[in-house]
Amino acid sequence: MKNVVVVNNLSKTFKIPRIKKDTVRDYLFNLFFKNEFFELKVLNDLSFEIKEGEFFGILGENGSGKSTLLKIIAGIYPPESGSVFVGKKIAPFLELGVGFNGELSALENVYLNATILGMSKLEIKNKLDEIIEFSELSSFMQQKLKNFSSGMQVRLAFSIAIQSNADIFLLDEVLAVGDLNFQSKCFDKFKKLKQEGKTIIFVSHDLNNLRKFSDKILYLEKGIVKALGDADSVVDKYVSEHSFFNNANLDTKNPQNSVEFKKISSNLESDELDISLSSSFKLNIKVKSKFDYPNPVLGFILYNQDGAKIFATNSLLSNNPIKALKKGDNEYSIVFKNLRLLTGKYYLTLALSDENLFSDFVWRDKAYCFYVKNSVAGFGIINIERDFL
Amino acid sequence: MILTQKKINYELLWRFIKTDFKLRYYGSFLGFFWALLKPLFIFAVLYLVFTVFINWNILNYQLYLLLGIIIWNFFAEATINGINSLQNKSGLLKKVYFPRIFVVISSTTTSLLVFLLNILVFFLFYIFSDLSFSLVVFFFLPYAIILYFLALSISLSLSILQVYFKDLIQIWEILLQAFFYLTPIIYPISLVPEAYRHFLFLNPLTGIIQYFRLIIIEHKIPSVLGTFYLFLFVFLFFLISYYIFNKYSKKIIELL
Repeated sequence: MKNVVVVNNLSKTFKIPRIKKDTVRDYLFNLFFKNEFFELKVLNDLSFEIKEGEFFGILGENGSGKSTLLKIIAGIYPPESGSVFVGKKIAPFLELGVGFNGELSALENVYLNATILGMSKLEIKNKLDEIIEFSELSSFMQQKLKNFSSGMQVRLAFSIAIQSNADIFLLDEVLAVGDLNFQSKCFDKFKKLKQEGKTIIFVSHDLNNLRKFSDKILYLEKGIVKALGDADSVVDKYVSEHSFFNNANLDTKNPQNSVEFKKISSNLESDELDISLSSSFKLNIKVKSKFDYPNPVLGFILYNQDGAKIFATNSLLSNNPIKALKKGDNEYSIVFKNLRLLTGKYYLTLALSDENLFSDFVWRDKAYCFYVKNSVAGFGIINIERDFL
Repeated sequence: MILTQKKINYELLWRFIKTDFKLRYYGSFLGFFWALLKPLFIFAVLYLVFTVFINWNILNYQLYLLLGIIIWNFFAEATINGINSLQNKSGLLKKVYFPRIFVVISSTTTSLLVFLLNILVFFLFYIFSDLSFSLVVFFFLPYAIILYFLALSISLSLSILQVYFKDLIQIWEILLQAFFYLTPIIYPISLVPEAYRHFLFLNPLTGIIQYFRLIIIEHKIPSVLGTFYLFLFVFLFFLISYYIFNKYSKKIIELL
């Protein structure tokens, strides 16, 4: 597939003056002070390519240069050095609802915003019904936008944005707004756009979404490419560097690299365990091996979001042997029962080792993350059953 | 149907102009009513001062004065709004790419529309005056274009400077105040002593206002040479401003 965005040795520096001089008065009064500039290198020698039809994630902490990068790709900021080539029509906006004006009616805003996004009047006319229908706001179109709730504005903005006929979309934290329902609607639409061969460049802090949707992720740190590759490996690297464990390697494997966790999933809907409905779930683990082994041991460690170890065990300790490891694909499961966890985020570390626990075939920190919803009135780590008498 | 980028750009510019117009004079009829009334009001006050209090006796003074005020009003509003336009649209400019010049053009063009409507109002007065009508009056159109490009050129270059010097607009407003009196708007240029007249003509607005009056009120066609100088000046100024704007408009977005 051909490259639609090629970035070569891109750098960008912001000059921040020590003395603020942005009026004629400042210049007159500070005439004899030489101003010094403090240089902030936001992007430092970036090079990467984005292929047509790719869902390209950008990951990094605040201030790592993600938004500046998007702005340069969009043509809003000029590159300082290096080059950016964009081969197809780009939707030159970073946010939903650019140009929205509260004083205009919703309908006028549709025309304004859609024109800014590069749609012609005719296209807007043809797509108007679709936009209004998608936004579910048909009875409000004549009202001024300032009377809309922020949720309604986002719905309208998104409905317009997805009608844009661009080939490349830039989305900067677009999904930080909107409820879960809206977010899933967005992602459904993204999948559709992807099927149509559109390229999506997407900045987010939501690791789960990045992992789920990205084909490739660029991980930026202080303007430097820290990692670039497939979603899982980059997110894992990011997590390992930002985790409370601070482990350098996430997937510790045996030297031959011969056993790996292919897929770790559960029967939970959107990884959420609602204790009021059920206190158990099943974790499915797909393992690929390059050899046969009769008595492997599967183990896990459960951590809460603060990094506290809640429980650890394995199939040997539990006296609960698992089936033999075959060359090729294997499937194991762990059923967790009667979990008395409190509301929060939990991580499972998984490992598969030999029968003596002598060496791990494969070990993955925070291999699975899930959320617990529990309405119990209390604090701590687990819910203790109690009777007050 | 495949539309070229150019056509979409024109549609965007047109959309900007419409939106600007709507927002500036929103509340539709009443907002617009005030825009038309403003030069008439200034006219009424000045007319009272100079014909009743001071008792000037100048032929066709009311039309003479009103035309000057309408032209000046356009120039002042177009440049003030134009210089502020990049700053006012910073939110948009930082979030989406489109040719940056549209912001300035739409701002000055909105003022131009108000100007043309003011000229229509002027012609209403004209009909009720004792002046006869002649087709020569339509000769004012090329001078209106020169006037527009003068305002646009100032807006283009100063809107860039405004980003670097945030108090430029205050300075500009003071200058406008001064030039309101240094341009023959209230007084006919014949009242100015001969020795100073040349200095007044260094201001291109003097020439434009005088030519407008010559055409519309006196039904005379201005001198070709004078028009040529005026055109040349505004044309060169526009080229320079356009060059400055294109050169800096990308760089200044991060300073907005």
